Order: sequence, then structure tokens, then C-alpha cells
Amino acid sequence: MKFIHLGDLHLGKNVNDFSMIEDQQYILDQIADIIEAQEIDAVLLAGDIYDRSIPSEEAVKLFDGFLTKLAAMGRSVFAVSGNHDSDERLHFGSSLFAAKNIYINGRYDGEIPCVTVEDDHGPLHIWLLPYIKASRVGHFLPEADTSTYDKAFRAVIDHADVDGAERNLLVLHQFVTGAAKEPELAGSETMVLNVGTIDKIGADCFDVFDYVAMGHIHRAQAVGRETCRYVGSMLKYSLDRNELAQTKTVPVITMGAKGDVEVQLIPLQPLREIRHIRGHLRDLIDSATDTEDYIYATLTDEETQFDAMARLQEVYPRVMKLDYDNAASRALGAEGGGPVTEGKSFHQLIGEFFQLYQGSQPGEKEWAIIEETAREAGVIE
Amino acid sequence: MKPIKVVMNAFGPYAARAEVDFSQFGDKGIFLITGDTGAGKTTIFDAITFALFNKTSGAEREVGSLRSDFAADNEETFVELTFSHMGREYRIFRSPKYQKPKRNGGMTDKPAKAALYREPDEPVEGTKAVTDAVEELLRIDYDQFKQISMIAQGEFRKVLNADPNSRGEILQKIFGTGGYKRMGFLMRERFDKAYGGLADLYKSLDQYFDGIRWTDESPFAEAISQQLTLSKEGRGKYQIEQRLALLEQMTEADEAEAADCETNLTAKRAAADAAAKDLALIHADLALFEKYDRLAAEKAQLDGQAETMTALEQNVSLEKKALYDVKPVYDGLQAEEAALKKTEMDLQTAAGQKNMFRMSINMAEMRMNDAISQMPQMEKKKADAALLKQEEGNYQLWDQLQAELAACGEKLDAYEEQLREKTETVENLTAAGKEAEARAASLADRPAKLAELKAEKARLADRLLDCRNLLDVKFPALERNGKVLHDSQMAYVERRDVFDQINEAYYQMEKQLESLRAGILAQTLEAGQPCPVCGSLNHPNPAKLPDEAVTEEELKALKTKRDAAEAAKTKAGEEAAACKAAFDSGLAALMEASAKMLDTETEKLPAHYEETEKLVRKLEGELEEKMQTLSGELAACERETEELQQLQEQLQTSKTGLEDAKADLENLQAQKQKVQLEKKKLDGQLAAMKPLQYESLEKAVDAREKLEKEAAEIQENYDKKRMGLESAKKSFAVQEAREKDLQAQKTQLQAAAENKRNAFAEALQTAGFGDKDAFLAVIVEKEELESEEETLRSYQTAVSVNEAALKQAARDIEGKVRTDATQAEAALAEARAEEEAAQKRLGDVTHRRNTNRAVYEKFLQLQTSAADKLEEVTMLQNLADILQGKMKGKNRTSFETYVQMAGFDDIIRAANQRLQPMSGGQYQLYRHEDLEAKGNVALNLDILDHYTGKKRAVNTLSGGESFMASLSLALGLSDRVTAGAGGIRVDTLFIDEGFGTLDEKSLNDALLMLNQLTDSNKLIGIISHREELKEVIPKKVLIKKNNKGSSIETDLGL
Repeated sequence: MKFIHLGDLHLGKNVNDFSMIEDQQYILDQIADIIEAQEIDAVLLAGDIYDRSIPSEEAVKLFDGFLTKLAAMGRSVFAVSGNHDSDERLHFGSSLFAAKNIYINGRYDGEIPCVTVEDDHGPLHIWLLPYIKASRVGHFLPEADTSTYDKAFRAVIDHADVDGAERNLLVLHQFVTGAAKEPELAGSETMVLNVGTIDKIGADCFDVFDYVAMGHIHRAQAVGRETCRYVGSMLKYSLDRNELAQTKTVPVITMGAKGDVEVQLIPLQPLREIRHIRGHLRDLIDSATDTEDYIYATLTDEETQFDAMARLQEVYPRVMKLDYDNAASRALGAEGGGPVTEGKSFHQLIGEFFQLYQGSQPGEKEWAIIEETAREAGVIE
Repeated sequence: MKPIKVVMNAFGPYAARAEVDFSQFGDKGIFLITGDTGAGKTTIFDAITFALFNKTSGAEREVGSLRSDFAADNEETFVELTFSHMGREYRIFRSPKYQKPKRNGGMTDKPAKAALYREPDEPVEGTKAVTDAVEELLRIDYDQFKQISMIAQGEFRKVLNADPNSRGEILQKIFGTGGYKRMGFLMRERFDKAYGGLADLYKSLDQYFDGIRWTDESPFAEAISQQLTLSKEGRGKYQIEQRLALLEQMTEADEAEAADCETNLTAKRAAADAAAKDLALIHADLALFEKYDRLAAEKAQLDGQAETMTALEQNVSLEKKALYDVKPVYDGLQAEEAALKKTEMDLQTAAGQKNMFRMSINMAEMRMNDAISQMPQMEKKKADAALLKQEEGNYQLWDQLQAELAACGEKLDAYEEQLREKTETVENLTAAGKEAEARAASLADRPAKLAELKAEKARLADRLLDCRNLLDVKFPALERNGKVLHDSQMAYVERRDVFDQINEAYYQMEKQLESLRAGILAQTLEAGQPCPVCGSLNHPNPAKLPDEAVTEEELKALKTKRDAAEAAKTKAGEEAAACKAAFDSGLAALMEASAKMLDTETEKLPAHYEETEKLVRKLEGELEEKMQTLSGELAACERETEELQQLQEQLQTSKTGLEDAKADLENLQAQKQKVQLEKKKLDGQLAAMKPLQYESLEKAVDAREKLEKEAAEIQENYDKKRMGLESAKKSFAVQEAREKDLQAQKTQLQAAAENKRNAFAEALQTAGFGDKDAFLAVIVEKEELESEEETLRSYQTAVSVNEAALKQAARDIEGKVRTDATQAEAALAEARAEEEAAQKRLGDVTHRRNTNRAVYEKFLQLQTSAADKLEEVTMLQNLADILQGKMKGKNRTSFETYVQMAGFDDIIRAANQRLQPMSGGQYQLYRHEDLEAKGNVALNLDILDHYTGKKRAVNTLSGGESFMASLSLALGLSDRVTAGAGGIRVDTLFIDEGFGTLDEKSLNDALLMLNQLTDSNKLIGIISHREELKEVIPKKVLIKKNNKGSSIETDLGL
């Protein structure tokens, strides 16, 4: 049976105030074409379908269109909710959708919902685990140890009673790490404040599953083994250098008999690229190409340019961000050395001050009085 | 200052105790405070600032309104904040002033309280004292705390747009530029002092000038009065040169005038002297004439006195004789005669005394004899006393016996008393015992009765239970069944009606179908053709088609319906039947049970079961009554049984008591007898003793002692008398001797007096006195004599002197004339007056000249000092203006601000490090630099927008942009503050709303930036209602609000 592993769609997301809905529509259409071309049987959606818990109308319309298309093509869909989705809202109508082989799960109540499909090699169990917090686990499995996410999830899997002899596939949306290193981020993840402290789960927790389809990290990668993957986001969602350097892909998984799992990565081509360009303003304007792209411009002019943004927008209508890389900005980044008056002696300060505001240094008699007064005020010994 | 825990009680919207434990969030990191509007998010910050500084954040909340409106009356309002600072832990307790209802109505004021605990130092108490201590500890006050550590709701613009003075104050605190400010003040003080000194100098100059002297005729009078007017107007200081010249001129003029006066004076003096000389000559002549006149008068007087003086001379010589020749002898005689008389008197006294002593000797002898006669009595008394002493022993024994007897008597009395009591007790006990026995007998049968009653009660209870069961369970059940039956019957009737209806319809339809069939068939009928039904060839009345068409299907359908209705009806019928059966059986059973209950036959029961129910109910009532009475009886019986038990126990105890009492009685009797025996013995002993003389030992001893004393007295008396006799004898002897001496003396003195008498008579004769009396008449004192002689002498001298002088005076006045002096005197007086006037004028002019000269010199001196001082003042003013930034027309930046600017730049740099990433590289802060600007703008802020390349003032930023800029500035401030000196540590930052003004992208950037901060040791608290923040920040404080106040929950993100 052939699956395509999707996730982290973030439908309805804005990047730097630009709505990506058109680009998302384009990519989803492309993915649908891939599904057709590759004769894929089912779609796995590993969470973060929407960007917000109450998505915009456009996003909902987009997802509705996508699901309808897939259903019309006769493919099955297996989806879970992510930390950006609202569990209940995504779960809406799921029992009705099941009639059309569209399985969406946003609930966990102690048991992991499982859908069993049949193919030439026998039954295949697809487990749908939405994004949950350890405290929720504790609520439904009171005897479990939920002091860390790792322990909690081991309890969840134990309790699920997975038959390792048969083929099992898990759809998951959590922060999972390998034994040696943590997953690399793309830069558009917004789990800013949680990075790797309490919520990491060891990848070996899910060893019983033949394939683990994960979402949450926007950089495509395998964790621990090739068959435990983060799909990554389908579009670049930030101006982070790492993200801009990547090419986005989707994995296609072919599940044969027990133990036979093949993974193939198909590259994706977006409607509009997000590019980072550098140079003097004049040069950038003169040598403008691919003007439809989203642009992040770094100006290297030493002086601040007048109306830089407006002028750049004349040639590149979609400028997302503009900043400078010159001596001034580098100085800004450097660590402050304290006020310029630090280290200057009192005499120097007075001299400079008088020079600035009187145009001349104090005379001898004046110096005498100044020093006397300063001594009285406790400024010098 | 990093808060560890804050506890609020009845504070703001929190009705009771609510606490936030910041230590759960760890040392650093971001936490979120979220909740509904008005739930109490900002109140947590208010609590912190209130605890520290007795003020609340935001301009709208007042300290007086802090008590929770939801609080119960007995809840105290207070805030308790535990925080750490510079490694030490502190705790503040503070309670605001508020009103609380009194127990008896009305409101009472609770005063504000505060306390700061800082182990191991002693705590601080008192609202103001605690605030002061906190400000001292943290080195900042409330306003500065807000600027550095808190971005309050709606106030983040203030951080950006702070007026330069308050910004200056903070920077002063941070960079320690207070010294430079002080320098400015000191310099200004110096200037003020110098300026004052200069003013004083000018005043002195005026005053000196005021002191010049001039006259109205003086040529300078006008100029001077002009100058004085100018002084009054205060313009004297501008006239110094002119005045100096004037003074010089005046001094010269004065000098000339003075010289003039002197010459004049000399001339006048000479004239006056000449006049005086003339007058003197005239006076001398007049004096001589006078002298002659006087002397002549004197001579006449002396001549008159000549006779008196001669008589005096004679008297004097007589007196001399009496005094020097006769008197000494007379005095000697008198002395001798006096001595003789004295000696005679002494002799008489001595004789008298001798006789007296002889008499006393006789007396003394008599007394001694008396004393001797008493001696034998003394001996007897001594003997009696000795006897008595011997007998004392017996007295003691007698006393002892008496005492023992008394004791026995007491004991006997006591035993009598006890015996009486014990007998009484025995009688009582016996009586009580008999009573109790009687009662016990009467109650003997109660236990058995009790058992009976209990059994009966149990039976009754069972019966009552059955009765109630019937009434409460069975009858209602039957009713219900009746109802069900009724319902089912109704249902059946309904179904039946439905069925009938349908059936009817079916028949109708069947008929209609038939007629239709018939009609159809009829249509095919043709006359002469056989009818398919009956074969007739005649069709007199062919069937007509009914109006309504009906199909087979319809009929079929209706049949089905009918069948269904029939089935339903049957079913309903069956059901009804079943219900009835059930009901009937139920009724039968119930009737049987009721009959049993009522103790009668089933047939005898009333027809309707409801009547039966009434009977049963009545029975229930009766049973209950019976139950009550029975319970009463049972209770009484129980009591009596108990009583019986008690009595039996009592009897037992009283029997034992009685036995004990009887034993005691016997014991007492025995003891009493013993004591009686003893008493008898003692009586015997007493009787056997000898009678005694005295009643008791004391009396005997007293008697003995008295005797002994009397004996001693007699002895004493004898001794005394003997001594008296001896002394009297001695005195007598002495007196006798004395008498003898005096006699001899007398004889001697008589002889001497005789001699003296003779001598006196001789002297009298020699002197020429007739007798003693003549002598005595003449005698006078020596002083008187001498003064008379003196008088004589002086008279004689005066006479001779006068003679000589008179002669001379006559010679002097020869050839002279008497003239009149009046004219000459007048001339002299005039001349002298002129001289005086000239003298006075000279004095005035000299005085004026001196005064003015002094003024001129002083003036010259001061003028130089004033010039110097003016130079100094100018310099100091310049310095003060520069240092304090008060240069007219130029940039008004003080030295302190100049130094602060540099520090401020540093802060801005740190702020920009935050603002750049947060604004996506778009914005950058600058210090406003415009040297030409008027006013104090050195610490104002500008913002550079990279997108346009233009700078503008920060108050032109939008809400969200303002928030980002002020947040960056606050972070920059706290960075630099912690890095610098000054002891101010900012470990916490609170941000109250403001994120609501950011769009999504800026919000993400802001959170990214804040997250980087948590690498340093800071705790950042954010209040916001934005959903995105709830999803992204794991550590949360949730505030829930309901109609009873708010409550706090902490979520640690697991």
C-alpha cells in the first residue's frame, strides 16, 4: 500500500504580513497531482493543518477543497490535529467523514483510535494520535508516571496494546528526538519557548511501529531511523537562513509485507520563491529578476538610503523585509563598551564640554575655581 | 528585586486569599498572566508595587479603593510580598486603610499598617518607615521603579516620552552624575555670594559718601545733593569716578577754609587779653581800701573783750593748785577706807557659815544612829528569803499535776461527744435499712412484668408494620394497577373505534370498487348483449360509475390498514384483559390480607376496596395509640426495675456500715474508762501534797525577791548616812581656818587708813583750802582747765596781730582813689565773646575737613576692591551659567546632562539591539541631537525608519510601534543598569498588555527577542489576553472571575 506523508500545512498562515493562501493552494494542487501520478492509496496528515485554532474562511475553504478532491479521487485520508489546531473544531464531523474514508482525529481519551485497512499483505493498523500534553495523559491513565513527556508517552503506547507481529503505522504530532541529537529546526516553528526542555520524547518509544509519520518540526528529517520522519512544512514559512536554503519535499511510503518499508522523497516546486538578496540599493533595483518572488533585501550601503522600501517595492512588489548590513549595523550588534564618557578623566570631560558650548577652554583662574568646586562636590579627590 | 511569592487577601477582585508563587517558574524565563477582563491581572502588579511603595501602577487606581468589594466582613485586607535582592530575602506585609463594619452596626476605620522583615536585622514597622526603607534598599523610588522595571497598562508611551527632568533623574541615579549637578549648584552659590559681596561693597561706598559734610553756602552743595539723590535711586554705583573727583575738590576747599579761620582766631584772642589786663589794675586798688576798713572794725571788737579775760586768768591759777597738789592724797585715803570695810564684812560671813556647818554635823550624827538601829531587821529578812527559795521546788510540782489533770478532763469530754455521735449514727443506719427493705419487697415483681411488656410491644410493632405495609404499598399499587387497567381499556376502545372507522371505510371503498367494477362493466353493456354477470339481455338500470375512482391498490392498501388496525385492536384488547386479570388478582390478594389484618372474613368486607382501605387505616390509628400507651407503661416499668436494683445495692452497703459503727462505739467506751482511771490517780497525788504558802510559784518567787531587796536597801541607807557625817565635819574645819585669817587682815588695814588721813589734812592746809568742802568746790577736770588757758592765750595773740596789720594798711592806702569797675568789665566781656565765636568756627571747619578727608581715603580704597570684585563676579556668573546649562540664547545643556547624554547613548545602543530584531530591522532609536535647539531637549528620543531613511520624533509612532520601542528601551535600561555600578539591580520586568497592539508578525518577533533574554538571569512577567501568547508561553497564571470574586491557578505547562 502506498502512502503520502503530509503535515504542518499551516493553512491560512501569514508570513511577514503576506497571505500565503495562493501559494498554499498551488502546492496542494501540486500534491494532488503527485498523488495521482504516483498512484498513492492514502494520505497521512500529521497535524498543524491550520495555522490558528480558529482559521480564516479562506483556509477552511482551501482544506475543504483539498479533502473533497481527495475523496473524489477515491483516496483515504488519515489526519490528526496539531498544537496549532483546535482539537474539537478539527474533529467536527469526523464520524460522518469516516463514511468516505476520511479519518480525522482530534481526541485522546486513554485509547488511541485505530483504523485497520486491508491490502494484499493483510491487515494494516493505522494509529491516529493527536497533539496532547502530558497532563492529559495523567488524567486518563491515572496510574501512569507523567512527570516527563517521555515517560507519559511510553505509558500511552504501552496501554494501546499494539500487536507488533502485524503491520502498524503511527501518525503523530510531538517533539521527538533521537538518541544522539535533537532535530534541527527550520526557523518558522513557533514553539519558541518550549524548545527541548520538558517535552521531548525519545524516538525509541515508538519502535513498535513500522512507520511513524510525524509533524511539528518544519525541517524534513528522519529521527533515529529512516522510517521515523518529520515531513517538514510544504512551503518556506520564514526568512530564516536555514529555511531559505532548503528544498521542500514530501515522502512517499510504500508498505509491503511486514518489515518491508520504502521511503522516497519527492521535491516540491512553489508558486513563488522566497529569496534573500544583498547589495547596494541602486544595484538591486537595476538588476531585478523574478520580480514576483517574495524578497528579503539586505542593503549594504553605508548611508541610510532615502525611501528605500518604497523604491524597492517599485521593482519587487513583494518585499517582505528590509535591513542593512553596514558599519553602523555591525556596530549595533557588537557588545556595548559602556558610555563614551567611561574612562575619561574629569579634566577631559570639562575640557570637552567647554569646548563644545563655549568654543574655548577655561582659563587658569577659571580652572582653579572649577577644581575647587569639584572637590567640594565630591567629584574629584 | 525579584519577587518570590505574593499573597493577596481580600485585595482588589480577590475575595479571600490568593497567591502567586513565582519560585515555581524558576529563576528566569517568561510567564504569562491571563484571564478575563477585570479578573484581576493588573492587580497582581498593583499588589507588588503597593507592598513595596504604597502606590499602585497605572494612574486610575487609588490606594483607598484596594479592599475587595467581594470580601467577607471578617476578612482582613493585606498584601504580603516575599522578594530577594542582592542575595538576601525580605518579606513585606502591608495593609491599606479601609473601613470595616462593626459588630454592632456602623463602620470602623482600620488604619494602614506595614512591616518589613529582614533577618537577621531587626524589622521595620510603620507605613512611611517601610516605604523609606524599601527605597533605601532598592535605591529607587516608585516612579523610577516603574520606568525601569514595569511597563504598565496604557503607559508605555510614558517611557518613551518621559519629560527630560524625570529622565534626567533616572540617569543621574544610574550613572551617578549627582556630583556634577552639585557642582553646578555650588558654582551658582559662589556666584551668589560674590554678587552679594559686590552689592555690599557698593552699599558701603554709598554709605561713606553719605557721611560727607558740607554747608549750604558751599559751592559743591548742588552737586552733592544731586549725588545723594542718585544714591537713593540706587544708581550710586555708577557715579564712583565723579564722586571721587568731587571728594578731592571738597577736601582742598576745606583745607583753605580752615587756615583762614585760624588766623582770625589769633587776632581776636589778642584783643581780649588787653581788655582783661586793664580791668585787673582797677580791681587791685579797690581791694586795698577794703582791707583797711576791715582791720579797723576788728580792733574795736577786741577792746570790748578785755575785762572778761582778766577774771578768767585768776580762776585758772586756783584750779591748778587743787588739781595737782591736793587731789592725789585725797584719792589715796579713800582707797584705804574702802579696803577695810570689805574685810570686816568677809569676817562676818565666815562666822555665820561656821555655825551652819556645826549644825549639819549634828544632824548627820542623828541620822546615822537611826540607820544603825535598822540593821537587825535586815538580818531577819535575809533569812526568810533563803527559806522561800528552798520551797520553790514544790510549787513546780504542784503546777505540773494541775496541768495533767486539766488534760484528762478535756479528753473525757471529747470521748463523751464522740460516743453521742456514734450512737446516733447507729440508730439512723438501722432505721434506713428497715425502710429500704420494705420498699425492695414492694418492687420484687417488676422484672418479670418488664419482660412481659417487652414481648407485647414487639407483637404490636409487627402488626403495625404489616398494617402500614398494606396502606403504603399494597393499596397504592392496586390503585396504580387500576389506573393502568383503565388506560388499557381506554386504549382498546380507541383502537376499536379506529378499527371500526377503517373497517367502515373499507366496506365503503369495497362497495365503491364494486360499483366501479360494475360501472365499468355496465359501460360495456349493450342492449341485447348478455350481462357478463347475470346473463340478462336487458339492462334496465346499468350501474353508474361512482364519482370518485378507486383502484385495487388503494383498496389493498386500505385493507392492509384495516388489518393492522384490527391487529392493534386485538392487541389492545388482550392487553386490557391481562391488566384486568392482574388487577383482579391483586384485588383479591389485597382483600384477603386486609381481612386477616382486620381479623374478619373476606366476605364481611365492604364492597369497594377503598372502604376497606379506610377500615385498615382506622385500625392503624388504633394500633398506634395502643403502641404509645404500651411504650409508656414499659418505660415506667423499666424505671422501677432499675430502682429495685439500686435499693438492693444500698441495703448491702448500709449493713456493712452499721456493723462498723457498732464496733467504733465499743472502742470509744473502752478508751473513756482508761482516762477516768488516770484522773483518779492524779487527784490522789494532789491531795497528798503539803499545803503551800502561796498560791503559785510566781507569787512565791516575788515574795522572796521583795525580801531580798528590802535587806539591800537598809544596808545602802546606813552607808549613805555614815558618809554624810564625815563630809559635814570636814567643811566645818575649813571654815574655822578662814575666819582666823580674816581677823588678822582687818587689824592691818586699820593702821594704814589712819596714816592716810593725816597726810590729807596736811595737803589741804598747804594749798590754802579751808576745809575739804572748799577744795571739792574748786576741783575741775584737767581738760577744762587746759581749754581755759588756751582761750586766754589766743586773745592775746589776736590783739597784737591786729595792731601790726592796721598800721600797714594805713600806709598802703596813702595817695589812692576809689574808682568804678563796671565799664571795664563790660568791655572785657565783649572781647571774650568775639574770641569764643572765632574759636567755634575754627572747630567746625576743622571737623568738616577731617571727616571729608577720611571719606575720600576710604572711598579710594573701596573703589579698587569693587573693581576686582566685579571681575570675579562676571567670571563666576559665566561658569555657573555654563555648568548649569543656562547660557542665554545657546543650547541649554548642563554639564550633568552632557555626561548623561553619553550614558544615555549607551542605553540607546542596548535598546536598539532589541528593537532591530523586534521590528524586523526597520526601526532604530537615536538621541535627539540639535545644538541650536532652545530648551532642554538633550535627552529626547528620535526614531529612524530604515524603510524611508528619515528620522522623526518618537511620539509620532503608532501604538504597536510605541510599545516595541518602549519595551526595547526598558530592556536597554535594565541591561545597562545591571552592568553599571550604583547598586541598583533589576531582575524583573513586568509588561502589562501592550501586546494587543502588535500584529502577528511583530508578536512573533517580540517573543523571539524576549526568549533570548531569558538566557540572562531575568524573570519576565507578561499580562495579555492574546490567544497566541497562551499557546506559546508554557508557564501561566490563570485568573478566573465569577460573581463571588476572582481566584488564581498556576499552570506549569506540563
